[in-house]
Amino acid sequence: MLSLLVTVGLTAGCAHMEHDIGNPLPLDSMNSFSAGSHYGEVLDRFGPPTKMSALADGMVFQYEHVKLTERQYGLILPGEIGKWIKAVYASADADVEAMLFVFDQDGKLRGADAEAWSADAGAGFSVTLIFSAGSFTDTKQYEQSASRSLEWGRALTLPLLKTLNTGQNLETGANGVQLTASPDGTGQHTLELKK
Amino acid sequence: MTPRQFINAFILLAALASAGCSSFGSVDGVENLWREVPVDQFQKGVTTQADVLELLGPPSQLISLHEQTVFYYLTKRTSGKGKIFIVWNQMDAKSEYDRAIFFFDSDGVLQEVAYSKEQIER
Repeated sequence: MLSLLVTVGLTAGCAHMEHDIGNPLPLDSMNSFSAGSHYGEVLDRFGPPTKMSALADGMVFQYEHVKLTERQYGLILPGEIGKWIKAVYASADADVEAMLFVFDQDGKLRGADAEAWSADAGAGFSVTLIFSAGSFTDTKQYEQSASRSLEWGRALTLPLLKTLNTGQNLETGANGVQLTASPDGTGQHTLELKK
Repeated sequence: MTPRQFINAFILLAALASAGCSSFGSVDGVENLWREVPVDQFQKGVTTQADVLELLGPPSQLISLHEQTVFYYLTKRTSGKGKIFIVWNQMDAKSEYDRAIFFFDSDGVLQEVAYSKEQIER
């Protein structure tokens, strides 16, 4: 019991959070497709893509799966305030799987690739009430992408630079796709940077 | 009960009283009506855009390809649960997607159709 008291006394708490976005992708199944495969075969095997877009001379399918893992470590603040408030350091990782299929105008496969990688999804520090549990890292880029197409109305109130660049919007299905969490300084989004 | 047992019981009760749990969930997108319609009911070369719209309603996204039009339907459900204790908190969330996609030619006739393998129960 003494060890329990010591543990409670010395540790302000820690947390483990996971967010699984979509289902794992069958990356090995990529080998069953070769140049010239029809897009209908890809749909039969994998279903509708996470994102798709028209290209100048065809179209592209992109499938994604993201798993976010966040770890939080509570720290003891000195003095009386430490009884009620805890400081939390949090860090998050993202495990990403992606498959990309590029088709020509006849719907024949031109090229495809699959990749899986882990990325540092960020870190944060917060001071909060002792029993609070929530995310302290900014993982919005990973979590919102697949449902952006549902936000037609909100698109009318975008910041000015994004509105001016609507012609290059990568969420409309007419201007290409990009991997989740690609930075704003990449390609067509560069025009939306404020600095 | 000895004083030592009393203290032990008090600490145990305090730990239990400080614990908690939570659950949450939300659904976005269109209603996944396609789960009520077998995919083979949509026949390539026969079914039209009007047939699909009548059965499923407006799509989440309408994509214009060069000589094709795509109806993309999406339902998203996020759910999770958390356990909150004094020294350990655990929170797990899962986002599931239910999708249907229809490719039409320039005459509005179905060319390809697919449902996602993962589905959300209606």
